[in-house]
Amino acid sequence: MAFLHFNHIRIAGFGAGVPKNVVENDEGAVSSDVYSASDFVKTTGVRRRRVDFELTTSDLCLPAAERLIADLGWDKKEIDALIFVSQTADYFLPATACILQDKLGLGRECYAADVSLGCSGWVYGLSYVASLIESGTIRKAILLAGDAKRHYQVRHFDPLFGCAGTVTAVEFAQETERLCFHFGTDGSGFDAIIIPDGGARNQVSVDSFREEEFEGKMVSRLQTRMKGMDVFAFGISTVPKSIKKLTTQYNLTLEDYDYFIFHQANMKMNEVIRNKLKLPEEKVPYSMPDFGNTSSASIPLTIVTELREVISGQKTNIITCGFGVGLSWGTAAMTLDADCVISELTEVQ
Amino acid sequence: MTNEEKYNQVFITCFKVDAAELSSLAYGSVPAWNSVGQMVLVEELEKAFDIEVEMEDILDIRSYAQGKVVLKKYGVKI
Repeated sequence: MAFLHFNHIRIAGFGAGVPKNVVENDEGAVSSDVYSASDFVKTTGVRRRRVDFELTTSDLCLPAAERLIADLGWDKKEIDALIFVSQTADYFLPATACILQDKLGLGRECYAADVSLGCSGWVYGLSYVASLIESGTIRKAILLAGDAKRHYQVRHFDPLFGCAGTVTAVEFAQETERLCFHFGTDGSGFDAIIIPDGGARNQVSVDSFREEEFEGKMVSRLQTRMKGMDVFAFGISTVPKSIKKLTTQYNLTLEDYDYFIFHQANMKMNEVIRNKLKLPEEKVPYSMPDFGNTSSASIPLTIVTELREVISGQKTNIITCGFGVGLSWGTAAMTLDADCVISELTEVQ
Repeated sequence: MTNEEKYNQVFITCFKVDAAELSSLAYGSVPAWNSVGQMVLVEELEKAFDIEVEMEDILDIRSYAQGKVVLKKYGVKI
């Protein structure tokens, strides 16, 4: 049973960076023999995305982090931990967290590490940061999460996915509300969402670039493949259960929560999840219509783009759930206090 | 309404088919029964019979006939 809770963790702020370039999901961007662009938009809810073929995830996280640190008025030398969650690291090695430590000008006593997770990654990353802060001398930390320029992207991005990099600032607080988590993993579904080639198991070869049909789309072995049915079945059955397990474990009441921020998978699946939990529409914000599925960035990006003007300056109870590639999932219940800083969205070019 | 009537109505509504087509209905046999249609079908079956279908059972509902077998596991006799 993977439950975690923390009593001295305060979420100080959120920020997000996206490419300035907007791609509309019209017939030019959605190429499939199986469905039209309008059907795609109707099913996924993704009308447009932010896409750039040059900017990496760290390029998006960096200016967002600079802005949030400035908005918070934090001294960079006080930030003793940096966790970078992404499946699009700058290099196979070294870890992108090390590069970001230097680019951000954090101290050399900084704990920095990469975490390779996708859609569940922000929730996992938050638990890493919280664990670090409650376990020793670290008092301020930043969590950078997102995905952008995919490896070996040959023709175009999948119209479901957008690029984003986010930052979440976390600090020790003597008096604060409890932060609690539930986590789960089902590696038997490892190939439900997968890029088959390019890692150590299947190294890049000529065949890796050859396109083949997969679920109605032509994709190479270096592009993301998703078994739609498996992912849907996983999402709609796992997410409600994880939330119920968390609320049962910690005696929480769904009605006490102001917002439920889910990984922005696709609109149909997210709406089924919302309906199963009997949550009112106004409590479940979506960033996916304008930004697409942004992997581990999707929860903080939704907070920045959909809730910034609504919750700034007021105490807000939220439940978040990230779920997807792995298969992996994580749910967190938290309270954002009235002083939590949500920076303006940073557009990067 | 009997369980069978409720069950049939879910398929008729989800996939916009006639009752006469039900017995041969399977995943992919009509355009609406794709992966998204599967999700909507499961949601409607869960609502109709007040059950929560497990992930592996969601994947097993591959036809109108197979759905009846799966629902039996949840105490729904059709």
